[in-house]
Amino acid sequence: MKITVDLGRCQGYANCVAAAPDVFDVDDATGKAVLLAAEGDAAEIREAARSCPVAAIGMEE
Amino acid sequence: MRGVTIVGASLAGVSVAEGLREHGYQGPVRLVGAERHLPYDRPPLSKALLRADEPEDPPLLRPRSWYDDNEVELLLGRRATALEADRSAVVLDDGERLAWDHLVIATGSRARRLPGLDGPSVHHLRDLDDARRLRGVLAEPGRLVVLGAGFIGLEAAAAAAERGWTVTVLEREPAPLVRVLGPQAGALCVRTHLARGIDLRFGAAVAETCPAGVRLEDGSVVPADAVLVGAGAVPNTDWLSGGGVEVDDGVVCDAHGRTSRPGVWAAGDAARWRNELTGRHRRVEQWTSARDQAALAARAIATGDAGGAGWAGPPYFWSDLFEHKVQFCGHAEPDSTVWTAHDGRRSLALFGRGEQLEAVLTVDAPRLLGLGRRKLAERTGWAEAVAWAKEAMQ
Ligand SMILES: Cc1cc2nc3c(=O)[nH]c(=O)nc-3n(C[C@H](O)[C@H](O)[C@H](O)COP(=O)(O)OP(=O)(O)OC[C@H]3O[C@@H](n4cnc5c(N)ncnc54)[C@H](O)[C@@H]3O)c2cc1C
Ligand code: SF4
Repeated sequence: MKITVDLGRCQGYANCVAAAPDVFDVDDATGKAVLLAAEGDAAEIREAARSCPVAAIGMEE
Repeated sequence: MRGVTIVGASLAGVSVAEGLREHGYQGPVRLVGAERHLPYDRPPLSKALLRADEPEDPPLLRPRSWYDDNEVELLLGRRATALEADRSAVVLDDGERLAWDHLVIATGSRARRLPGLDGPSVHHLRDLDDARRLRGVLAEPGRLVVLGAGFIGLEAAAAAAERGWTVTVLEREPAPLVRVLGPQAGALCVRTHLARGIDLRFGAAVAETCPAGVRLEDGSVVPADAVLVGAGAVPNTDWLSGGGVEVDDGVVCDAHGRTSRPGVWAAGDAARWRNELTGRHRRVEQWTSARDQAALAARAIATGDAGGAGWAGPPYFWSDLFEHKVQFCGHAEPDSTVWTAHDGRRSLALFGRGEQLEAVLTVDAPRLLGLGRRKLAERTGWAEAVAWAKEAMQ
């Protein structure tokens, strides 16, 4: 599994944190997403990617 | 096979089409939308799009090729005018009648109009045409009066102030953002508005527009070159009258999107779903809810199975006010218990009822929002949540 976050696009909405809290975090200082793990629950990660309002998350299974 | 007809080609409608194909639905999918634009994302209309240095077009929800690739037939610039549920059909404005196996109502909501407030200087902010018009007006600085201190009004007020406008916000309620946040927590969201010189007046009852600006009920006049009415939204359900589905402040739905009529579904701003986590049966006008509902309805239609968990995520909303990110998750009531903290940079508010945490608000603290949202989903008790919040804000 390969998870990517395009930090140029990321707006810190934290939808990804809500969808997959074990994989995504948002740094309060930068307001950008942080990857906590290289893999995790695929359904949760897919949901995170889909719920990102700016489509910043990529995933290859 | 007549397939699925989706009325309303915006976030909920497009998400239903996408969900149907993801779940392997093979039949025809038709998306009917009153706007002539390719479906686009609405939140930027009151944010980036009002700024001078941002492109004039909001992001498309999907590129044009996506509709072809997924065999989603787009009927844009066409409006549904009547539902004939008994005949499993909808009628369009040009008289065409579309028959369906499943109908999804995703007609969203529109800006509420206020009586006495009309004329060329009066704006509303709901669609791309509204936003382009307001953006054009903001190019030359002047005086803007915003009616209503809700999120859209406050976002537009911030954008106008950044473009050199003198801005007055008039709100009938005693505090900002009352409808979503109740009377106590809104103050956390308007610090920067006050710091940048925006005049926020509460308990201000506006009567009408006048040549100089707007006249309040007490007779005083607030001068304005442009007026933005941000008085909330009403669901686009008029076209359903007499059609055979129950409508009561939105199309009434269960936690899976089923209406009172088999084969007819609804999602997004136009629908009123039951939420299994909060137990509430309320219409919400939020991006994430529209998307979540659409995904659930699409899955149920495609798989023929509306069993399992329904809509159970805590409702979630964000807003950008100046450079600040406001995020809110859950449901607050006017009489919720509220706990707030501000540490000079971040703000956090918790809302509770009895022993239960029921909502979380953050300003510039996305991480705390993510954690708070998890606490809501886990049905964390109030005392435990406050203890967490105190530690988090140290
Ligand atoms: C300016 C603005 C800023 C926002 N900012 C945020 C934000 O920051 N965060 C957040 O969570 N939410 C925000 N929202 C709310 C969010 O955009 C909505 O919840 C979301 O757009 C709802 O999607 P929807 O598809 O249900 O309805 P809508 O987006 O309202 O779309 C409904 C579509 O149906 C069409 N239609 C209506 N009647 C008919 C008919 N009879 N026949 C055919 N088509 C019809 C309409 O033209 C429209 O295109 C904002 C909304 C606005 C207007
Ligand atoms: S949801 Fe998207 S924009 Fe939001 S924090 Fe995650 S990656 Fe960034």
